[in-house]
Amino acid sequence: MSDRSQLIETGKPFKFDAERDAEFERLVKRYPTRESMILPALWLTQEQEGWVSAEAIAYIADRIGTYAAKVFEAATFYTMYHLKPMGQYHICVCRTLSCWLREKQNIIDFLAEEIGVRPGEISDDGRFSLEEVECLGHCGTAPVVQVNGEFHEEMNVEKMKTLLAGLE
Amino acid sequence: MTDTIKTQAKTLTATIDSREVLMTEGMTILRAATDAGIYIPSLCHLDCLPDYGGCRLCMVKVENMRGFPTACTTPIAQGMQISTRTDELQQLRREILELLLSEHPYTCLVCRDKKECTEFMHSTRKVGTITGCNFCPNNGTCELQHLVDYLELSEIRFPIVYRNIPPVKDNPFYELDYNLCILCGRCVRICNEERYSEVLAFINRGNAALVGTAFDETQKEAGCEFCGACIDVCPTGSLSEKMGKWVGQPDSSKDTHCSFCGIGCRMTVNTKGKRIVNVGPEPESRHNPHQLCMRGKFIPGDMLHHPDRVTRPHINRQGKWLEVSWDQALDVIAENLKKCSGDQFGLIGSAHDSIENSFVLQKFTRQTMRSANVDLSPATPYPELIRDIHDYYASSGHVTINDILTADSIHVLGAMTQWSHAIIENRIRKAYKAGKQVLVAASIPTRTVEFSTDYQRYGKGCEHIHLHRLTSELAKEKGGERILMIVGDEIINSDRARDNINNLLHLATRSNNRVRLLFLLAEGNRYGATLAGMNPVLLPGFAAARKKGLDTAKMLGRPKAISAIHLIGDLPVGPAIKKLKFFVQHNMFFTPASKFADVFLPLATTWESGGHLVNLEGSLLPLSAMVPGEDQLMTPAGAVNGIAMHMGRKVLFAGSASNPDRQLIPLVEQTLTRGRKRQTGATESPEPRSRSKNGRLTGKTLQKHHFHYLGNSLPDLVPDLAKVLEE
Amino acid sequence: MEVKILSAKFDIENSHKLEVAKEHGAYATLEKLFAMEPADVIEEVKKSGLRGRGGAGFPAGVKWSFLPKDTGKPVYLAVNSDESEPATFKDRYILVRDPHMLIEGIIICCYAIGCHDTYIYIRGEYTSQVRILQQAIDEAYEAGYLGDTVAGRDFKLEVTVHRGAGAYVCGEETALLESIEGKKGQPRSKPPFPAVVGLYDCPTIINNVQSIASLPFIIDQGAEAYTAYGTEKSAGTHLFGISGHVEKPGMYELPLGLPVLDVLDKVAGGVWKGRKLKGVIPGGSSTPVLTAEEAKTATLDYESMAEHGTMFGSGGIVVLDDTVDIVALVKNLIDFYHHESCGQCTPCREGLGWMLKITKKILAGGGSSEDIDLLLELCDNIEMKTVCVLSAACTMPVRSYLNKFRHEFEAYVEKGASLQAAGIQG
Repeated sequence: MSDRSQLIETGKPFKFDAERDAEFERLVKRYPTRESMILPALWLTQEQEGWVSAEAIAYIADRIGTYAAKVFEAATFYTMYHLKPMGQYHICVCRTLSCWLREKQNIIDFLAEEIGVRPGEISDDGRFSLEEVECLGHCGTAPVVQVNGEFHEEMNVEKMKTLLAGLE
Repeated sequence: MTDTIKTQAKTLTATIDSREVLMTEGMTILRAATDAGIYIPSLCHLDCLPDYGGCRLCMVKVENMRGFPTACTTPIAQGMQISTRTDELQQLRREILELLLSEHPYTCLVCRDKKECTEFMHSTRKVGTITGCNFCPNNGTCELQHLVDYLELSEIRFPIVYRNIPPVKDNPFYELDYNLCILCGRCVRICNEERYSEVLAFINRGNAALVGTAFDETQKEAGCEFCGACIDVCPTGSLSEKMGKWVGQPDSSKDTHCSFCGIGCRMTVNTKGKRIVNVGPEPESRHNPHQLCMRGKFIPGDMLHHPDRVTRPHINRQGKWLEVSWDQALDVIAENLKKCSGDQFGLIGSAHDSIENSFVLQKFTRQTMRSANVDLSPATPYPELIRDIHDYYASSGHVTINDILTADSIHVLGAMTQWSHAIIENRIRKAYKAGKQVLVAASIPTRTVEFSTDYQRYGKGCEHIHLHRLTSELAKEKGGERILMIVGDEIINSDRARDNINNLLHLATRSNNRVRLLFLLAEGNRYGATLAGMNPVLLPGFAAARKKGLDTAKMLGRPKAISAIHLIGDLPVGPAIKKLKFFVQHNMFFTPASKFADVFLPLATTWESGGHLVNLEGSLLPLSAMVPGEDQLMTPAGAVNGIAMHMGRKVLFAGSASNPDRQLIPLVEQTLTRGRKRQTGATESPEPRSRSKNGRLTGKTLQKHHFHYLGNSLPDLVPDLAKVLEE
Repeated sequence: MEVKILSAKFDIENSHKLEVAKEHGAYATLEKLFAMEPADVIEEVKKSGLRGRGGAGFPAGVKWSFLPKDTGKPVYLAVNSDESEPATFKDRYILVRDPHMLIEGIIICCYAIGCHDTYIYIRGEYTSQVRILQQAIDEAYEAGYLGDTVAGRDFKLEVTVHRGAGAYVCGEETALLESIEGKKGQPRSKPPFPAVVGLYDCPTIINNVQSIASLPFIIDQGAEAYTAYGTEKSAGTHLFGISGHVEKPGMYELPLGLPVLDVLDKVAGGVWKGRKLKGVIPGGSSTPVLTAEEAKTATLDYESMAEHGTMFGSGGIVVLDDTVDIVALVKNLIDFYHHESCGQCTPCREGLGWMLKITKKILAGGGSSEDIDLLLELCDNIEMKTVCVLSAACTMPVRSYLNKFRHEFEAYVEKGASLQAAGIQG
């Protein structure tokens, strides 16, 4: 498990762009407390920047009217928030039961060889990052791979090759 | 948490360990058992905190309930049959403790030679990391040690896992070693849900969870207020005070009251020999410690045991200090003071000093020296200020700190409670979290603003304009909500203090007590010292003096106003000090003013001698002597009594300096309880005085007022404090 | 064997679009619904015998009747779409292929329990799924099925999608509520139960997606039409997810009560690659395993599974062929639960850590027979001794593997390698 206690500062102030700003304002009306916006705001941040920086945490706390430690706590508890920049293509391979039974390891091994990254790593050129994740809820079409959030089912080495070739 | 108002709570009967007990509806099993004197172990529960149910040690067996409910979270019900200590439960607890200890350096806890080792080996703590109890700052007060004994755990089947987290030692005042943390969450909860400092959080989850700050910042960067509450509640040695770390285990502990600010918090001081080990929790139990603030928690030891403490009398011989005996020192003083009797003499005392010392000091001035020039430093903007406040309390009934929680709305006026009166700040935050209106007005925004429903900023020195507007608005209201006004430095220590206070008193009187006032006095015993007569116009019991003397500002305002000063503590150096014919300083440390002193006497503080104080609520509180102090230290009362004797005058008291007059404490009590109605401010109205050239409150004045003890600058003495206060 | 009740619209193109869904009967029950009294709706659901489809199987109608009356506080509905239990993927089909059935179910439930604010808690990993669901909700708002006047009636209903962000524990109902409130997902101690003190301290009902999506059929066709499927105590149909070592893995809607092996052979095409069956995980990774022998007599319903010492769970069936290394599988499982433990309770936080360490040690060939016993003992020490059942979800299956496949663990202890690698016949 990677160390999630470190946050990275960008040195630049963070704020929501106009679209996220509007979405924040739309959503905040849906909850009786502003604290409920912690998870949605972290998602908006990650959508906008691809990851969550120290400045973003401070911004969210301020925007919601809570304290930074509370936002930080959530950001480190939930594993999908990236606290550092990921690769241009963030590849998640499911490691749990059904995907394991249907040989997800072949895909991991192939990726290690093909793009030179192991789970938890980012390729030197910043194009790829690889993460082994827990059950993605596609067990009937295992093994499953997610690239930048899009699902690819019934994967094998051949299909992974084709998928990589199709990426810019 | 326990004092929530219960309306007509039903009484229930339940059986705990075959004993029938009467309970109130809504109580948890743990509460009920504790009240019935039945011990259930727990590591995460604290009465003052919301329950967490994480450690699982308080699991009990309840008839007809599945599994093992936790006593701390399960409400008691009519007819419940509860077992707290069956073999099954004890075994279960042992297994949980075993798991807890599997990530905690525990070797010593279960070592076969534990008994011999504890008896014959000295604690050796100078190691970088903690490897077992003997190296742990919490040795002796550790709740894990206690539980290992209670559950008779003798073996841990898991190999030691050392988390190998570097201990954090660069914080002011305390050290963190998360290798010892058992993740009970007490510190996180007290920080966020009791102190509202909102600094600590759980980082990560599951087995990887740790306690930490946002952004992994240092405590200071994360906004820590250094109240020390997290240390007090920690059941292990993860969080520990730097002070006293190397002193060893305390051999004694005493209850006293803190005299730094006017609140007078109750505190427990743990000592070993002449040393303070730590302040705060009672050694037997860390449950519900009296919550303190940075000053009470961390400063006493650093200040009293400071390496620069002067412990012998000295005479100034052409700029060089010559160590002398008390007799020699007193002879020199007596000889010189004989020449300066009457109006030539002035005595300046401290509002941190006890009632007893204050009483003797004023008696010395008035009776022995036949002078009326006696006052405290720093002085109040006008001499009758404390009496005016006293008269208000006497006529309206005392206002207490907990009234903050019961008022409908709270006005915080010109105060920096976060640092000046942290426990009052805590009550303000609680009131805010409970949905009360909190209206803050000040010239400098402080963190209190975050806990306010309204904030008004006024220009520096314009507090009277704001006050005027506010009081006229409120005066128009007829009936309605109960308002508590917390009156701070910017109002009390203003050039316009008399007008400001009259304005407020007028509003309070007219409102028929709907508006009540709580005055934030900066020093521990400002009220009591004035009541004991340390005032140029008021005698003990606030009786008006027939002969009016000079206040501190006047004594120091003009060179040659007087020719001799006896000073307790320290003062900023002004031209008057330099021009004195004779100057005695009775203090803990040599300070810049000492350069102009003819004689320097080593001071025994109230921490070392005890006494009484009157806090800002007007309650009489005892101070105990915490540590004996070095042999040559003397109290201010003892010193002036010696001077009187060496001058061949009447002794000021016979016997103990801690009880100089049998009539004194009864007089104080009578004054406080009965009080007398007086006319305020109608007869005399002296010119407003400027406290200093640029006389307004700034960050510096805050420091001066709240971070000094007997006039000595605490940040100068305690580097950790300076670190906290630096911008 | 397959039936099409919940999955009726699954194979229709663009069935997630309102227009298409309406053509095939979506929202048709609302007319009937609003003609009923809320209490009658609850009664009908109770009669249908619908049990919570999230895994615990608590009767839905009974759960609703726990709501206290007239508290003066709002009532909330939280729809649990966290679907994170390994081997479970049924709710996803509803979200993607018939989201309007879910929305219709939400309207039915909210009308019955007097709720005007619903939060759908959907796991963060469901990225495209959340988009489709949100589009459907937007369409429903536009068409007046949600908002101030639901289907033109004087009934207000807001539905908000709340995304999780990677935490299995948030499928636990109180952790889910904490997560909606913006906190880390640490389960709450019960009592108080969410029906009394739930979301924002208000009365709250938490139901699984499939439970809610079953409501339109029950209201439209009546409880009896629903109980016509399944067994006496396990009424209706279920979306079974079959995965692992079968020829045709996937999602199949089946009535409850079918024999396990029939389903494997006739529906899922049998064990793959012509191999033999070693075991069956009946209802998600946290249910105890059935050996091939036990599977012969088991049927897919709550009673039979209980008789066989396991649970119906979420209907996520995993088939294990005879090449599976049970010790490695156990390590894979413990790894999952250890990673997902929230860290609140000592037994789970520390205990799962030790179970993982010990299993790794055995896998590496360094284990002893005492280690196997220590694992069993740890299971006992952890199970049911924590705030929530996450730890039990790990220990219950692990204990079953240890008991039923102990020889595979012993092979590692004795030979330092798996049963298969050591060439011993199981």
